[in-house]
Amino acid sequence: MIRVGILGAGFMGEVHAAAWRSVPGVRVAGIATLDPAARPWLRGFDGRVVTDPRVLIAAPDIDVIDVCLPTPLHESSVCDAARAGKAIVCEKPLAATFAAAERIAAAVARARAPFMPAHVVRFFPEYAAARDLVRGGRIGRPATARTFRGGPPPGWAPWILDPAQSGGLFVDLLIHDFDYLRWVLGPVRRVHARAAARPDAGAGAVHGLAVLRFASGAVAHVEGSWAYPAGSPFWTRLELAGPDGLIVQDSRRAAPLVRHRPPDAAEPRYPQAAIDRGPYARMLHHVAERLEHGSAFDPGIDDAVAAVRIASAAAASAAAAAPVEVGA
Amino acid sequence: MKVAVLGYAHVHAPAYAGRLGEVPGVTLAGVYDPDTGVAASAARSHGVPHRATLDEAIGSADAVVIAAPNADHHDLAVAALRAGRHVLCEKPLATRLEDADAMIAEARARGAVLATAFPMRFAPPIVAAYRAVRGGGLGRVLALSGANNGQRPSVPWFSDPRRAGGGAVMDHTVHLADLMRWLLDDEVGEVYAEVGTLLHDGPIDDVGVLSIRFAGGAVATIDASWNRPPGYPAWGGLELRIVAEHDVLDVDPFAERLTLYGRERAIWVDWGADADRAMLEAFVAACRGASNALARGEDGRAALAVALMAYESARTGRPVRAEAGGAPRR
Repeated sequence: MIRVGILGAGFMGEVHAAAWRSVPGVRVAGIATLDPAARPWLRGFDGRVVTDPRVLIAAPDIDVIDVCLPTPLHESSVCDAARAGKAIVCEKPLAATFAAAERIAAAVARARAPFMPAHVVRFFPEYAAARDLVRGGRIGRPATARTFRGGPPPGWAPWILDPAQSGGLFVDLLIHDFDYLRWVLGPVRRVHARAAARPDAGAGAVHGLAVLRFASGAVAHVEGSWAYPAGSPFWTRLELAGPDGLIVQDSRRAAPLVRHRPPDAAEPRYPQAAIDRGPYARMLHHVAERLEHGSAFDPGIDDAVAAVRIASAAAASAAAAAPVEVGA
Repeated sequence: MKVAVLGYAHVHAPAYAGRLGEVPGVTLAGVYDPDTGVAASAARSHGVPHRATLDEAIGSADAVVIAAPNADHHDLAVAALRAGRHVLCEKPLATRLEDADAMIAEARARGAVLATAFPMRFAPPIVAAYRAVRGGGLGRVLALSGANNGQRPSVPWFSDPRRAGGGAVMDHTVHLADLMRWLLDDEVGEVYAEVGTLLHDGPIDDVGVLSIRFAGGAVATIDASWNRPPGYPAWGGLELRIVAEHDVLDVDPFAERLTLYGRERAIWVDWGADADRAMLEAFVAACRGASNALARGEDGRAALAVALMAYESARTGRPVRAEAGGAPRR
């Protein structure tokens, strides 16, 4: 039995808890959250609820620490968990800055801790299937990629809109596509990005447009948005093209079940698959399986650092209005 | 009004020639092309005279539509303008800014209309977006992202740098550059671009993504790549996202289409309004003195400048700033 302690009981903590429950041989043994009363979903939870994450990190009956805390808390909790000899799953991004990501990676390496960043897009069946097609040679040598990810601002967690805490749109939101494209197309050579802020929404970008050049020569356009009005759907799109083919995936056109409800203007509605049917369960299933076999998680800490490096280079490019060499 | 077609080399030539005959008050006066075989066959298919020489074609008409290879636009347009004819020229207006300048100067000197064929200005979804941006309470436009991706045109001159002036970036940047300038009533201030030849053999670019800052501060990207494979259901498409302070507009002017599944592949069949015909009607109205949304020579030049700035950026690896007048800094 693999025993998991989840740090954080917000949106991601709840999603991870539900996904862990579907993985055989795993028990969520504890959840740490500052204010349990504010998280009604915990009422149905049968393990320990603590207010200090260090209690779970130190607990001998916990094997895996799953970090679902806001980004600024990743460094201390991952480093503590690594020192405590735990296996670690950490929500993306690993850190808001490349420097912090490198510090975390050093601590993880020193402790030889099994580590996986929750780069969940790799576990979306449609994204995984697209990569399989590319690797199977179905489009030839990939030449272009085009991704979109976005919707309304994340109203459930206002800290995400503060670049000082989350890294901003390129790091918090687009890290998914940067990581995915690096997984499919290889290392990124350079990035040029532009960002748009909204006068009433602070200095942080609400819309980002990044152009990536890969070491392979491939060119990608990566677009992300928090500019849609509240209540608009969150959606994603992926295109991969080569001389022999083009792959297109659009979440707006992949709706096997649509429940028509009165509009709820407060929260964005996520694609069904994002929560109910799979990617998080697949991701955590991978963690459990690899732990059983004693093999490394994929993606690992290097992928987490590289993704932060690309994303922070995009943010730096937008700030400097100049291309930034990446090499990651 | 009699309108002749000069040059029958562009993929849009058959559509323009065909639609001209449908515009009220217009007679298709004939077709001229330096390849007399092409011109004769085109003239036959439209049921109009084949004009054997440029002079004969210009003499036969009050106005001309130019659908020749890009590098030939200048000579044909100047010849027609010198004779006092109005000109609607296929995009890009020219392959060099000095050619575009000469065309514009000739039109001004003769008091003739010089228009650039940017039919997307007349696509109803784009017109609705324009109205929303200009008066619909969206707030200031913050960002635009446009994609004009297509198959590589099968006509060989499109892949000849000398005749086309460039590949995908030259072919596909200009539509969106024009729409964005028009929607924002603003000029491009800076262009960065990643350009490559990754999908086809040959000397010409087929991948190009531009990152733009407008003088007024809006940011934008244009994806101009010829990355639709031969099996794609259509030649390609054009999409535009407009991110404003309050609202976001997702525009797909080609969304009005049927999918026709055949034995081998599926194709898209448009059922939406005909933007080409609306543009030709606007050209005819402009020749008669009307003021409308028709893109003029200056608009064609500005869009060409954006494509040239993209090539300059790709050569230098740096963002390229526009000089006053929209020319790339050299």
